[in-house]
This record gives sequence, structure tokens and C-alpha cells, in this order.
Amino acid sequence: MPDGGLFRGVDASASALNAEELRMNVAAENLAHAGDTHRLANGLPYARQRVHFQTVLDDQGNSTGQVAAHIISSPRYTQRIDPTHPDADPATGIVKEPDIDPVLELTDLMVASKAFDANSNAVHGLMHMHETALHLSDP
Amino acid sequence: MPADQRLTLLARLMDVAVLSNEVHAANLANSNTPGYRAKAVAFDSAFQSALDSGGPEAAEQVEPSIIEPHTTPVQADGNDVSSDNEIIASAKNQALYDAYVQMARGELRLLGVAVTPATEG
Repeated sequence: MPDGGLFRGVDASASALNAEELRMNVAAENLAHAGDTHRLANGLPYARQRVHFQTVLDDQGNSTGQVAAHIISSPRYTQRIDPTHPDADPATGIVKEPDIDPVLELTDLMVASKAFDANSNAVHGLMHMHETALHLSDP
Repeated sequence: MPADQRLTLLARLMDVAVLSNEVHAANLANSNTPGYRAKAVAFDSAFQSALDSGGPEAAEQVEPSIIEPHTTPVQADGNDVSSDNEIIASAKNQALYDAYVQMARGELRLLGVAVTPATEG
């Protein structure tokens, strides 16, 4: 049998629950910042965040089944000239807005939510199997 | 086939069912990972042919291996996990596991009867 702990499958599902939750949080954050023109310390408004999924590898470079999620900044902006806008650049009169598509964020939210449910069911299934084995010798 | 051999084979089948469910869980966990290819456990056909040709002794020696079946369409991000397939396969697998557990319980009950001294009356 390939090696690995008793809860290797549960660990894989747990890592995915974390990853999908991060993805939902980021989508909600992006959605909240759609149309947010307020300039931050770097002179630019909120940058859209993206979540990148990656398989976790072991020392030998084989897949452990677990997934890691990282947040990547995606600083793309739409701009328009509106010199009277409070967030406009004083020199040029340009207002920058993060390039966020609410439909894209909402579908991402739905996909992540469904994936979260699927992984949660997988944990239930595995735990049920372990539990039945524990009660094998019951009368 | 003696009882202990039947139990050994059942234990092996249960181990493989757990491994297989772990693989389904890993596939589901990576259903949104770019470039991830779905994995599967190859065991059943090797087990069956060993059982047919060499009997239980040969079947006990069969080891499961993890393969990439490449049977589902690859999406634009290089991922070929079908969540529906994984959920269905995992549900089937759990039912199979429950069946093995019932069979193992039956074997253990028989052994219990055999080692319990008969009571009078």
C-alpha cells in the first residue's frame, strides 16, 4: 500500500475547504470594492485580488493530494477623466477604478461554495468509513 | 478458503476502498487547481485475475497502484477532474466498503461462535 497517515484523505479535503473559503472571502472582498475609486498610500485604488490554487508536493515531488491557495494581486484599472471627482488625480484629472466585473466575482463565489460543499461531503464519507471500521467487532 | 484467509482478503479490500476514497477526496480538493490531472486506484482487475489464476494466496499479494486514467476531458486550465464523477465514484466506494464491513462482521461472528464453549440447557 502507498504510505500515508490514516487521515490523509481528510487532510486533502480540509486543505481544499480552507482554499475554497479563501476564494469566497476574496470574491466577496472584490465585489465590495467594485467601483471603489479611493486612492490608497501608493496612489492607486484597491487592486483586484485573485486566488491561485496549487497542488502541494512532497519531498519527492509527488502530489500529496492537498491544495494550497495563494492570493495574487491583479492591479488593473479602468480610467476616465473627471476633474471634479474627489478621487481624481489633481494634475491630470484622471479617476482610476479597479477593473472588477461583479458577475465574474459572483460566479466565482458560487463555484467556490459548491466545491466547499463537495469537499465537506467527502470528509463525512471518509469519517463514516473509519467509524464503521472502529465498530467492526461490536456485537 | 479458511476463515482467516477470507478476513485477510476482506481487510485488503477495505484498505483499497479507503485508499480509493482518499484519492477521490484529493481529486475533489484539486478540482480547481490548474494543471491537476485526476488520479485513480488500479486494483480490481489485477485482483480478479490473480484470484482466478493463483487463488487467494496470489490475490493477497496484489498491490494497488495510483494511476492517472486520462479519461475525462481536459479543461482550458489543464485540469481534468470531473467533480460529479468523483462524488459518484466515492459514494459507490462507500457502499462497497459498508458491504465489506458486513461480510467481515459475519466472519467474526462465526469465529466467535466457534470459540465460545457450548452452554448447557
